[in-house]
Amino acid sequence: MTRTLTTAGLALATLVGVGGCDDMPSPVALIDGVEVVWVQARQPEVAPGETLEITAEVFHPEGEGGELVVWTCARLGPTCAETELGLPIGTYVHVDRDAAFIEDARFPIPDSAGLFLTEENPAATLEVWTMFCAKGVCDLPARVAADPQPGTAAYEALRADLDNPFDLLQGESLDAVSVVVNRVILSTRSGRERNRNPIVQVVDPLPDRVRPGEPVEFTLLTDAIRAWPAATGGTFAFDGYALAGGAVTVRWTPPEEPGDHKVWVLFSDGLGGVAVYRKAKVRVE
Amino acid sequence: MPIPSCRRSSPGPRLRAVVVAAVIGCAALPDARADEPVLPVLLEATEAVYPPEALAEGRGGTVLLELDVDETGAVMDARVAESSGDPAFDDAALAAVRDFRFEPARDGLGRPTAARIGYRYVFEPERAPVVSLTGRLLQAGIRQPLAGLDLRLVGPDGETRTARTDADGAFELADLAVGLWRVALDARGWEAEVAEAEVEEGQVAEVTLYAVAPRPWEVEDVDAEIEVVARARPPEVTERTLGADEIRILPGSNGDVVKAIQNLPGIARPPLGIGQLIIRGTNPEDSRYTLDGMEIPLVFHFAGLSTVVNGDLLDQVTFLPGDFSARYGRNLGGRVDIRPTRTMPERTNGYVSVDLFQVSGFVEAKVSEKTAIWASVRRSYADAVLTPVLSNTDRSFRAPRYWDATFRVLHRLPVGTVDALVLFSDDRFAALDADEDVDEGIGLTTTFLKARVSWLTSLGDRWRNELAVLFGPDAQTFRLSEDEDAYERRFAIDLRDEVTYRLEDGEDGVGWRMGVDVQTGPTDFRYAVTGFGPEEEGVSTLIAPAFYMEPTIRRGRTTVVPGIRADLLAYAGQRARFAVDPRVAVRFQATDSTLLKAATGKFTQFPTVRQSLDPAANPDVPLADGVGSLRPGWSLQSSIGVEQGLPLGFSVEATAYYNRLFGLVQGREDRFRFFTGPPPTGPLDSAPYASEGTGMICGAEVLVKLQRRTTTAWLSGTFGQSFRTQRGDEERSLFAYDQPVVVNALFSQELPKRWRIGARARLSLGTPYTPVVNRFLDLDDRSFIPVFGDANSARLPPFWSFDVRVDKEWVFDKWALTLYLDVQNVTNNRNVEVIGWTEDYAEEDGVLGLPIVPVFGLKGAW
Repeated sequence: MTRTLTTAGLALATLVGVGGCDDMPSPVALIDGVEVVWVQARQPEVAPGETLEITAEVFHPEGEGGELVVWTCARLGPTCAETELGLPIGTYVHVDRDAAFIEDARFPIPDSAGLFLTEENPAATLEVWTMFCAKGVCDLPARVAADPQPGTAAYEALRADLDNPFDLLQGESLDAVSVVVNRVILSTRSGRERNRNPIVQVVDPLPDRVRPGEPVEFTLLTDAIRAWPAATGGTFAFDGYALAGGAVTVRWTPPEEPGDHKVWVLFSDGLGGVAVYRKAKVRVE
Repeated sequence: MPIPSCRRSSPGPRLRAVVVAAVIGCAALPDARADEPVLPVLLEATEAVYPPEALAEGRGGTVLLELDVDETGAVMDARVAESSGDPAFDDAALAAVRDFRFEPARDGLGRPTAARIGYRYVFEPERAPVVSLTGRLLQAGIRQPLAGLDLRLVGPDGETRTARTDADGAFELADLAVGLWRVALDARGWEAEVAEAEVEEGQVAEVTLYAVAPRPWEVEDVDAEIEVVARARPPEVTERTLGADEIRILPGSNGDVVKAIQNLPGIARPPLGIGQLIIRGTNPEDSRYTLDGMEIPLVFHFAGLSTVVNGDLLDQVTFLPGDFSARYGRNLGGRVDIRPTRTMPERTNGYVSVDLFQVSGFVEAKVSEKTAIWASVRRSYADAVLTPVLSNTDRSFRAPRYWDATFRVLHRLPVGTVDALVLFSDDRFAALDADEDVDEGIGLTTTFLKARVSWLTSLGDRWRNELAVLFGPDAQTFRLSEDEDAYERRFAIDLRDEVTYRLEDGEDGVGWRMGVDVQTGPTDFRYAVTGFGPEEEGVSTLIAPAFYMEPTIRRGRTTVVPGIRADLLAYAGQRARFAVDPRVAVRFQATDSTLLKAATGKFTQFPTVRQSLDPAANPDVPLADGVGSLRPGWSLQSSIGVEQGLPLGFSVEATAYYNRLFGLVQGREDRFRFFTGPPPTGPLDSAPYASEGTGMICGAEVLVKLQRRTTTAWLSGTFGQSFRTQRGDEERSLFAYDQPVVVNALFSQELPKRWRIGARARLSLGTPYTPVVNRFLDLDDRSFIPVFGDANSARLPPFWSFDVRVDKEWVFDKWALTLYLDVQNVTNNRNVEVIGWTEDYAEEDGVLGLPIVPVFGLKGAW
């Protein structure tokens, strides 16, 4: 009887997604492996004829760098429409440092994409997939780097894999690989009506030097609706914040061991708009 | 009066009668064990009319009669086995015994059964003696009259007399010397303090003795001249029946009658030990729970806390794992039938019971010679115990809270027995924010109110008719928020009428069973929870009549039971679905102790209302294409087995089974299941409904049983595999609840001083799950999305648990107290019950079962 009573609690807890609190850092907030930390489109809403420009930050604590691939999936129908649109198959970047900005991976959106947008459906989702692999772990970067041409078997096979990330990832390693997806909007709206990235202002900055294990707070002002902190060490009081615009005060407890760490707060407007507060180096001593 | 001969009687000729068999056996009857057949006990006797001519002439006579007593205790037939030589005596005795009423005989499993007994009626013209002392002998604790026990009386001058109690536990002695008489019980094993009675001239002294029942091994073996007519064998190849008394002592089930079924072969262990039954590799939703053969919405309170019907109202629980009779249908899994007792209580009994999580009260009363009532109420207070434990800073939990109530009336009419029962059950569980009202939070509820009326009547020699109807509303609801909820509500009406013609055991010939089985009533449902799938809702009325016929053909040692069942099912506005299920079972009694059996047949399960509802009837509801064109799923089940009796109380039963499943409804899976189990792992099938699923199940079940007076032991094993193909073009995968090996060992031992100990060991291989082989991070909400591997291609670690139970009973004159300690998972093994993952799906992080859990309980009965 006792067993089943507790079972009931567990079952409902599973059902409603209620988890307990503990001192372990959230895997989403702790950047301690091969990670794509954030991805931002310069314009979170693009129109046919424009170019989607992607900026990302990757991190590899071992300092060996890695290989990065960015590709898109235009959801203009039941499957990705990249082939029909003639979009580039993807962008390959070699990263030889422990952390790097990947700036302006470019995806020109052809005018023909406008044919898929109608008055009834004036906007579509454009998925941006980013994969960062430690050196030699994945074979996808090499396939993208080879830049197969449309009409070839290699192109068709690669396109099929990129269009079905779930199938693609079944064959990839679980370790030393980071795959993320975010979405932007493809629309024909005018520039004034289009979404833009949120704005973030620092009200109370994170100090450059903090004491081990001693919590610190910093405050940011934003028009985003959600925020998530992340760091290469330590823990946060909350894994995420739901905002109604305005200020957010983040409480970070640095690790007990001295060292240098990076801290981020990532903002989203829920419509593809992304902003990042980034502290490249905080010394714990 | 019949036995005993010393009952107070009016002046005039005195009649004495002796049950040839029962007189010898009575000493052991009140506490006879279930492993021995128990003789009928005479409850009501009608005095024969003394033939006037014989009385005038001072003649006596003795008639030896043969009585057929049915399982309700009524005399179905009586014959003169040995005449007195005077037809007047024979006729008078025959006329009298036909109105006798007995406590029915019980077979080796403690079930009421028909019996044939010898009965000697003695006509003896004597002067009525002057009664000096009357008394009653009652069983201590429960105050049950004790029949057929001997008393020894010692008078003031050392004179010794004896007496024997009658069916009411009464005794009387006449012509005793004036003075102090000491009354002592003289029955092996029984314990009672010596009572004293002062006999005075012209007065009748009275005395009451309370005797503590002996343990089974403290009485002599019954040696009775009795032929117990075995209960007509069920047509099923595999029917496993547990008597309520047997179940209560089993360790690990907390005395719950239906949970004990989970120890039987054929049942896989459900994840987290919740109350669902996974029978022979089928979905829990494919099995049915019935009350007297008619469906009730659920048999367990939330997540298997306890059975919804108080076990003390039940006579037996029958488990049919598959290949069952044509009288049952509309499901592909097994069936569990709970059946209330048909035995009238002899007096008012009751108890109040308290354990860690619930309090219950129970009363049974004999209102008149023909009417009895039962009432039971139970209320859990698990919410008070667990709510603080389950609550955390974000959310407050209201732990499961249930209550149930049952009221029942049994009335015997000249034209049969009417049995009316009302059952109410309510389960609630909620999770809510600290400042929310309980009606505003997330909650699960299941409520039903069912009334069942049955009428059992004899249609003459061996023919019998049972008409029963069960009706009432039931509702299951899930509420996530003000705008998001899901529910299914029904007003179900079940009607059954069954006519049977019974073959006597060993008799060659043809027996019959035929009947109609109708389900009807309106249903409405709504599934509108974001994340559970597309919104669906609808209203419809079900009509599902069925007819079945099943002859029993016996010749010598071979019995063949062919059966056929025709089902029709339709929802209002839809075309009807139709199914014909032929089945056949064969039994061959190879030797007195060896029974071979085999069966095969077709079984049909219709799509649910949610699956069936025609979109044309609900144009505003976005239902999938193809709904309304679903076909009934069906299975072809075959089994073969053997039952072997062995010396020293051992028996073995083994059954092999092979089932093929076709046309299973697939599609529109969601993570919401009304209390049937944890949310499924792996990607969900969100495509429209289609009758495309197939399956294959095969395995073997073994049950080795030891049943002795003081020892009960089982070793049950289930070995099998269950596969499914979700869609025609998909590969076959393991069934989500597949468990290739399930072994349960139980042991219960009676000890002196009313102690009992028991233990249970369980071992089962883990259920399959779909592993996560990769994952990616959705930056828009910073949550990880799993990438699943092949369906059900990984398996949880084996489950292992060892449970123990200790009972101690104290018996006082007018009540008894029982205290028990049921400790589950004594070895504190941390079993992985349900697979889970860390937040980033990088590592598996399963939900563990409970650690060692001691449960105390006490029960006071009067």
